[in-house]
Amino acid sequence: MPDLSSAPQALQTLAERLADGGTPLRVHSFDSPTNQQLRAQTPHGTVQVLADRGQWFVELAPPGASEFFDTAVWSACLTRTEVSLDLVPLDAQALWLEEFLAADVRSEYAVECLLEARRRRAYGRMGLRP
Amino acid sequence: MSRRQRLSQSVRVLALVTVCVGLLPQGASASAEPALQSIAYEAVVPAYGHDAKVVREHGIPGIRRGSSIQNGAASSGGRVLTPAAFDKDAFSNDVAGFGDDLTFGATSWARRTINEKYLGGCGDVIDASSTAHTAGGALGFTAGLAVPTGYLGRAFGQVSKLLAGSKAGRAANTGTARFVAASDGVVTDLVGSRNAISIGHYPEYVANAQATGARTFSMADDAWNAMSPTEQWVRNQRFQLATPLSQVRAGSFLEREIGYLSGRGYVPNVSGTLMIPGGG
Repeated sequence: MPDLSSAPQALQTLAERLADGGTPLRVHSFDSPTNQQLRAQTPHGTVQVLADRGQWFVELAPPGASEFFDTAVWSACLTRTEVSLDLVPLDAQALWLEEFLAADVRSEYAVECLLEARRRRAYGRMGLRP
Repeated sequence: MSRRQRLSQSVRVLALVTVCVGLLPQGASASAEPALQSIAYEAVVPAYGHDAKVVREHGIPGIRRGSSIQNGAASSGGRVLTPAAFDKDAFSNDVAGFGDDLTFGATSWARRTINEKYLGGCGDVIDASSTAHTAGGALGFTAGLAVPTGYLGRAFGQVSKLLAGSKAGRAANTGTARFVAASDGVVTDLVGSRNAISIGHYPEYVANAQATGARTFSMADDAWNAMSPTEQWVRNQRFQLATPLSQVRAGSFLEREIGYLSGRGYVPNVSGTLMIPGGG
């Protein structure tokens, strides 16, 4: 069982939703409760909850892919808009993912868009030229 | 050593800190105590391979040695910390030496600063020349692999907040840096050549360390800035990116570390695998 005792409430709730839906988070790698990687295989892709030095992140990889993207990147490619450089609160990210995973419609996106948007977002936030 | 003895030793370290906090000037204790506690936890936690958050929330239940810790140390060819290594009366000295080594002397800096600023010499109870202190230092690098490394940086960040207005205080909250050191204690890069430092997200940096027989530790930028030239020899070196720049997560410590390097003239190489001094 994953140790989410130190995770923010939003991620604990997301974990419950995933488990309720029959796709529970499972430990992918574990060093300590504050350095661990959890994943859940869903029909919409693989959800990754990551604890890195006590910081928590949630991401989604397209089905069958091993590249993970945060909700800002996903949102940009689903709406075909420029990716935001703003930090999205974890609560909002978890909620966005819950709604995305619960949607019946199959979303249209290109993996190339996700990769490029992730690159622009990361470089842009660090003040580096892509 | 029994669990009871180990617990007793841990309590001794915290008791030392408690005594020091008791000597703080009136009004300073409330703000200084968390930072001192963090340092104490950082001293105890790496020594026992225990998770710092659990310690903070539930006290010190003794040794809990994670399998990944032992596996990592074993694969790195490093020494695995054993309870016997700390079976000494001078445990507080032992732990202090450990902390100094782990952070290139940064804990020594923090202790000096706290001692000078707030404790009126209480910190002198740690004898830097003692045998136990030296033994602790020798063990520092080995245990670094096991440490949830953000905690050291946070501890120094808290210290720096106490020192607002000083150089260290202004440099606070810039995050922590992760490094990889070879089994001989020399900082090394992924392929084993010297003079490169590895930074990255979990679990990439762990994989790097295990793949190269290296070990990791962390320190805060402000502590780094406050070090002596000898301690700062790692400046102007290359930083190996265990995580590609395009995969740096928004709001992460790693993002802040790279921003920190960028602000000091470092630029990514063409392949985005290194941060190198500008023009280098």
